[in-house]
Amino acid sequence: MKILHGFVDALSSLWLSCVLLILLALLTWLGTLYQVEHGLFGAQVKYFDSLFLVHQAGSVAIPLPGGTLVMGILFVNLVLGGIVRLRKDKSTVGILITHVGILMLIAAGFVKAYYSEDGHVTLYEGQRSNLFESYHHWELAVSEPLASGELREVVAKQETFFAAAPGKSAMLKGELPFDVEVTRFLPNCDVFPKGPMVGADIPTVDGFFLQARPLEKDNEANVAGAYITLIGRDGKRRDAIVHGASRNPLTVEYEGRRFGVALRREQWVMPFTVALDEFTKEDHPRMMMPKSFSSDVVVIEPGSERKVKISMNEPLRQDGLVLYQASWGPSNARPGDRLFSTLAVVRNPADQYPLYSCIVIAIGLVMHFSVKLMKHIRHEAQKAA
Amino acid sequence: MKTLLSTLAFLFALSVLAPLARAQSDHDHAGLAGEAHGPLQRSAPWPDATRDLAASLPIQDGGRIKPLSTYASFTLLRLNGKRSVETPSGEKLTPIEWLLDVLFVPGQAESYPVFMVADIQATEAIGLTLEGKKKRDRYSAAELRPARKKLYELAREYERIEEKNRSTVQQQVFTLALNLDLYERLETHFDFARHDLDVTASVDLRRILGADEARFSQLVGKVPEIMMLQRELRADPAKSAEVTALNRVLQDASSLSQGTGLLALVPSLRDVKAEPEWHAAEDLFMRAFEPDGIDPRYVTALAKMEDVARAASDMPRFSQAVEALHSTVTPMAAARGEYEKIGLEISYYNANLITNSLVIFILGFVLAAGLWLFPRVRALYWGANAAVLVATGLLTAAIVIRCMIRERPPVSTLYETVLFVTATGALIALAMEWINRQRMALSSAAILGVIGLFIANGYETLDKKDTMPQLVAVLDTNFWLATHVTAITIGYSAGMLAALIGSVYLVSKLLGLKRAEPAYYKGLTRMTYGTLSFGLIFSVVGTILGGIWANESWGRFWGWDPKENGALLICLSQIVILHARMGGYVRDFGIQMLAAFGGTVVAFSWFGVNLLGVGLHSYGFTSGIHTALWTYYGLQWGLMAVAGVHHLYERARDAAVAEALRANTNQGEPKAH
Amino acid sequence: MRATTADVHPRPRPRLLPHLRRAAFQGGVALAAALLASCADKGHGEASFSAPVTYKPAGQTFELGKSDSNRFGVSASDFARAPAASGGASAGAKIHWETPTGWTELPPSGTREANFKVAGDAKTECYLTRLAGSAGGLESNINRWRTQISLPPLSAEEIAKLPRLEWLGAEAVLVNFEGQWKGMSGTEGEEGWRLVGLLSVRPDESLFLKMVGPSEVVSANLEPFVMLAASFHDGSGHSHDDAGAAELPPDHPPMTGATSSAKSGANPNDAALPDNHPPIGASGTPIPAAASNDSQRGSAFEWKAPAGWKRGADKSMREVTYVVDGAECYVTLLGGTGGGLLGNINRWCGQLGAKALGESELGALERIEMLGGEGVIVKITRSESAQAGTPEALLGALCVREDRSLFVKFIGAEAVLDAQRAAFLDFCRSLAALQ
Repeated sequence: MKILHGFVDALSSLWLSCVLLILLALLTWLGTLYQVEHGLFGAQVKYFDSLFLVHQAGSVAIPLPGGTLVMGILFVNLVLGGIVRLRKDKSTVGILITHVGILMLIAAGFVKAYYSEDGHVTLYEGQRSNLFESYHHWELAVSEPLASGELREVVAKQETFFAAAPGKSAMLKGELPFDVEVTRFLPNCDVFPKGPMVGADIPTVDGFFLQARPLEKDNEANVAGAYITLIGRDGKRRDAIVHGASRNPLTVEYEGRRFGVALRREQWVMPFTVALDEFTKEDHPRMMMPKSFSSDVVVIEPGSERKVKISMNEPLRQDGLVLYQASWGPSNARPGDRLFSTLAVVRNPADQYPLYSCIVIAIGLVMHFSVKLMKHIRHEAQKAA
Repeated sequence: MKTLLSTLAFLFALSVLAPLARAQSDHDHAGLAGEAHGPLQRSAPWPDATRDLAASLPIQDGGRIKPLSTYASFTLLRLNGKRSVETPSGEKLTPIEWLLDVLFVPGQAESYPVFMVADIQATEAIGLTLEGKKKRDRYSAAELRPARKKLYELAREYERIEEKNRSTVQQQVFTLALNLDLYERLETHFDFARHDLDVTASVDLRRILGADEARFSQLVGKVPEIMMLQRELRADPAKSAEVTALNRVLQDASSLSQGTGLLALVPSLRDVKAEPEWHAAEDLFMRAFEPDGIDPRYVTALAKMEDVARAASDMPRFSQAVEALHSTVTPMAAARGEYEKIGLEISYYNANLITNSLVIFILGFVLAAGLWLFPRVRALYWGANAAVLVATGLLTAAIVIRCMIRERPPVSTLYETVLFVTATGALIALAMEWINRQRMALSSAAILGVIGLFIANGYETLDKKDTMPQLVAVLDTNFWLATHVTAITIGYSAGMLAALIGSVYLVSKLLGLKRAEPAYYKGLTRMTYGTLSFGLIFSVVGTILGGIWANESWGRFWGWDPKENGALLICLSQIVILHARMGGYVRDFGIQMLAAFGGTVVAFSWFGVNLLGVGLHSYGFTSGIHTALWTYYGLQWGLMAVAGVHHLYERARDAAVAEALRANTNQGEPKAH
Repeated sequence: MRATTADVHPRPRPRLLPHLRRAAFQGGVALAAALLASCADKGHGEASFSAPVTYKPAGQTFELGKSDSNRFGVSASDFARAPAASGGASAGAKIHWETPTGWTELPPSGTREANFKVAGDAKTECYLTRLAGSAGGLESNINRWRTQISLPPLSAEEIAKLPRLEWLGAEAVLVNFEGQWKGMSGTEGEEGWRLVGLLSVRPDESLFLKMVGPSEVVSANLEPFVMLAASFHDGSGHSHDDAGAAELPPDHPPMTGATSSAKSGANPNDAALPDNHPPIGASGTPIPAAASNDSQRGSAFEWKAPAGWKRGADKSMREVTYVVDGAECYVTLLGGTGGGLLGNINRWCGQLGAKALGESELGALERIEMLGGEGVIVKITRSESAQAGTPEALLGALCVREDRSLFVKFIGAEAVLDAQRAAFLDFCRSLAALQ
């Protein structure tokens, strides 16, 4: 029990808070500098989303706790030391409120990390869609077209097969007349036809093979591919290649049903359809500096249509989704060309939490410091008198 | 296929430096009638009234409407590194006077030394060796002209080198080439107004224009008739020589107006929404060929410019012509609601608020320093108080006027952060002074004012660009600029002030000031603590607001973007100081050391991350800041290191003294018996 | 001061219930465990698909039954055939070109639709990449190239200033970079390399032509590069528009600056040969025809050589070339429709400066029996306004099918063509596919 007490004491100590805050600051600083060479995504993975890491300072390797670990312990430290064990009286009300506000902010982060969907829908003028897809994550989807014109899909997220490699294949089972075994996953690759001139040292399926490429600094530029084996209920195996840049899915037939198998960016169905009428980019007069971007869209729901303008700083909020003006193209379009617009789509149940927590924190800090200031002014006045 | 072939081959031959390619072409207009109208030399100084009228001509530049004087001022700053010129005859010219000379008496202006070259190696590199030039010196266009070809050749070569890999000399040659190109475009801008077009080769054209020679504006006014004529002539195969002659004249007119896009002096006649762009001579020339023709008011505006350019030899006539041009274009601008701010902007620059504020801050600092020497002179105290207050007032007025001109919250550019940080820092320090009457806060306010405004002026001179630029799309939101940016900037301000007080504490300790007054040091620590507490509120709230803004415009609250990380670093550093103080891990000295260190954290977040050149916030990138920033880091860390060593030494000495004392008393005891 | 601060955060107090501590501890342990578990190495082994979701797609297409070539946008069978059918007649993708003299054409690979070894230099490559969609856009591709050659990225404004020209019927940006070659993998690192290229990002597809290699090799091969770029055509006749097509409308003011200088500049390349012009020199050195047997065979066809025709030097893309009385006749085989019947006729019309034919005039053209189907015969004569050096007349036979198309083109003086017309028609009829 004594050891436990000591442990809890340590976990809730102010001393630990300081150490953790300094570590977090150090990670933030190193992670910022790291971006110059390795891009944002690389920095995020190494410094912020990690448990441990080794920082290379020149030729010296420095082991450090990762961002997730530091923030995790800091969270516990905050709950124990900053709220549970904080002495509660008139003078600590402001601190308590501030700490609660920070917890709310962290809660928003957790909700966002585990319950949000984050992607984009890219449409040319005149196109429409009711899907949005992830910028980063892949999924393996098996789709069956139904007579009604609908699609029935089962998907496996990237986490279930990203480590698949020879000897470590990932078996995926579902409500299907076949199983899918991912035998090798390549996070960035090209698909090439095997020709007489090309000596490929990895398997060729139906005249094609996947050639790995080094990972791009910008994660969105990576195109994944995978070797898969489809296993029917009769145990018959069929090898195939799926690639992230395919135009159409791999077609397979089992028990008289036709399925499309595709490796694609993780995608979600929206409860409504957006159609892009027009994308407008305005420059400052006689300059090439953009002044504004906006997309005129129609939001189509069963039985209703509504015109909305989505512009920078003015997103569309609908049915728990938020659509933002994120990008556009083609970049070399001339006046009158058909343009496309990329709308970032986010479903985040904690969308507004940061605002609430900001208000709470502001109230807490102002309360605490104004009490202190008042006390000080009174003190000075007494001294003067 | 031929187009592609010849274009490709041509482009390869030319390399890819478009602006310089233009500058290299000779200013040769074969089909022009006679000499240019207008003088090469000015007979007398520009009359004040005329100069002021010209200063208030509106121009569209950098996406906004500004007075011609503002344009002149930043152009001269860019070339000359300062906002004035001394002519060889000893005249000292203001920017607008200089610009009028370049535009209207180029023959005179070319002898003004306006090209600042920081290292003579750059001019030597282009083969120019002139008697009596110093290492850092100014050159005139006439002096550079013999080396012009070599200059552009080298510049084109250096352009292919990445900017950060260019040597200092290479960079200077490159900049000089860009500056000379800009100057040459200004110098030839009014060529279209000075020259007559020779139309004698085309009988029909002569008939339409009613003369052998025509002004540019006359030709532009007759374009519909000329086009009709051209159609008729083309239909008749026998008239091919006529077509050629006609095309020749149009070609000449076109090449005269080429490159005038630099100065868009003619407001559009449509409303701002329908057509935000103003027009230069070349746009109006092209516009005349559009199916619905050109509005006669545009032709009038062109004619008025011709009158001005041709009258520069005759001051009274020139004054009249400028007046006529002014009364032609300003109503056009006013009709679009684009003239109201011109007067305010001219007053803003004429009042020199920033410089005056700086001077008074310096005065305040001198008085505050005097107060240190003569602490009992109350007049000094009140004088310093008044000076800092007035200086802060002027600075605040400058910020307010800038807000009015731009219709923006106080901070939307890096330059404005400097002004705002200085103003709020001085105000916080003044407030502390009035609460505590410690005198130290007053001195801090004065020091902060002086340093801040020196940085502001230095930044402006380094950047050499309009400090009221247009903003990119994502920043075009007054709500978030007013909340997030303002809060964050107040946070910077508090952080820098705390670092300043911390540094004052460390310096005082090092110099052994007020050794007998522990209350002085306690007071400083209280000030640091108060400033940090105040700053923390704004840093935290500002940072979270930034996340909320990011969530509104990009769909994510936090993305570990460098600028976001910088803001987080400020919050963390301030939180660490307050918690460490609360836990008793640091005392006065530690708090002040950490506060001083916090200054470099703020500087990193404020300027440092922009120098990294990555992320979503690299809008304020300025390479010249690099040196200044590292100088500050060096000074601050150096001070901390020296103070730290000194502190350890003092502690060791105190311990030794205490030990010696204890030993003494221990030895002394038996003696008492 | 210390007194006011230390009391806020007191040492642990006994009034805290032990079970609260335990709960907190367990919470902490659980959290740490959850963190560890969530980061543990997964991604292999066995997992389940999600539960089925049914939805109706709006605006997206979902097509089953497509071949691998269709799925991947590259064709294995084309590739296998590619070395034989040199000249880049890959089916499915209808872009054609003329390999510059001295360059070696390599089989296409991956996304490289055309692939060359430049002037025998092992390091210098030139290739055409064709990708569906915007392929990341112009900016990212330019900057990707810049990264490959160790240059910093260009800003959008700088990119906007790059020269643009018309290529394959759309706008293309010309780039010309020099630096240290890092290559695609970012490892090589060779100084003094040069990269020239054309990038054309269109709404539906993106075309990139890139030549990269040591500076001196690239510089020496700029002209072949330009010729190659100009020779690319997709059968729609875009690249064959002569200078007239780019002329300003009559009402338009004359332009000065780059465009006008480009037109008037006395550039040696202005005198470049029109596309498909008889090769200078080649026609003068005919290879002796097979002695007695007039039956000839090429890689995919056999035919009867008309009397008096001499076999010309073999050229890429051409099945066979004959020369007679200064006129030249050659056979080209392209994959797919090669741009269609009307497209090819009008391309030829364009080459001779003649007026294009309309759909309705197509029916009036003479038909002969050819390759077991119908061949269309067309005669085009040079227009008055055509440039010097344009052949006087063209007699052509076109046999356009879905899978591949055959073109017989006979160009030279009109008198020769008229005299040889019967021989030409016999030659066309004699063509037969090899099995």
